[in-house]
Amino acid sequence: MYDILAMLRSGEIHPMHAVAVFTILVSMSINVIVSKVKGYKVRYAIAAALPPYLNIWFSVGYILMAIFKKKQSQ
Amino acid sequence: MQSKAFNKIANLTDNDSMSSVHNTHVISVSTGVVKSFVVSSQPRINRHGELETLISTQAIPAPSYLVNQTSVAWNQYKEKSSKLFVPIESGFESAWSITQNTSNRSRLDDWLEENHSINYWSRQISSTFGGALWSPLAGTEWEIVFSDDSSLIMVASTTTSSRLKLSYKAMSAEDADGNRIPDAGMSVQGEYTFSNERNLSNFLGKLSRYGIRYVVVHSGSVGGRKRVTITDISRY
Repeated sequence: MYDILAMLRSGEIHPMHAVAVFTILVSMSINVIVSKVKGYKVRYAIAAALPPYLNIWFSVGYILMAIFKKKQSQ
Repeated sequence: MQSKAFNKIANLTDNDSMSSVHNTHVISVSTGVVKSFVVSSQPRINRHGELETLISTQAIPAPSYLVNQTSVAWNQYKEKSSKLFVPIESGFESAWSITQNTSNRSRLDDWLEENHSINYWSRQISSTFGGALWSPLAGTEWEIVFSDDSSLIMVASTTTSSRLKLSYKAMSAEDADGNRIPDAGMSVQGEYTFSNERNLSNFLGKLSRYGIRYVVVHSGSVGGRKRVTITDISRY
């Protein structure tokens, strides 16, 4: 972890890339947890977490959908 | 500070018919300075036959317990303040050493990272990661204050920065009186105002020290403050 910070500070890793990876990890964990809890398809949850920077907004939408979407009657 | 002691006693003893002597202590927590004065108030009849109060102030050494208490309060103020204070032990005595020596900017960032780690990383992460999600958080500016009261502004990195380091904001350095400290290679031409003779000679001394030749075209005093107009000739 310390090495990664040192590389970020020296410019060997660009902050943009670090933030992209960070947002993918955070939004993927949020999406997967929500999909497991609500019984949605996991592959869509993972796909929504892949585009960097957009993914965090997809996650917000995913959470809102999980809260407000009513279950369709069979 | 002397004028504060003067005004306080002048208001307190205005039109008093008895003379009095007051020990007055003036404390500034934001600068950690304490000064003590003996202020004497004396009534007298002026040539129109009216009562007037004569006030005189004399500086005396501040009591040591007040100096200690002010020092403690100042340290607490520095910890709570959003400004980051750089003591002389850091090796950076003034904002001059950052503006004129560009390699010191990276060293100052390293020093802040080592000595103000929590402050440093909370600002960097909120600007870089927070700024990626919400633009008002990106590239926040932070004031760094040096032991001679000069200051400058460092900008937190964003996702568009090449390195995760605080960067110096160009032309942001000021001395204790708010006069702009020139960046390396910049002109010093302009009008400068100083609160006392010492600050003025410090400023001119720094210009000479960093090889900036100048001419004082005009000097004077405005409202008790020394004012000089400087123009530079050329650099060595």
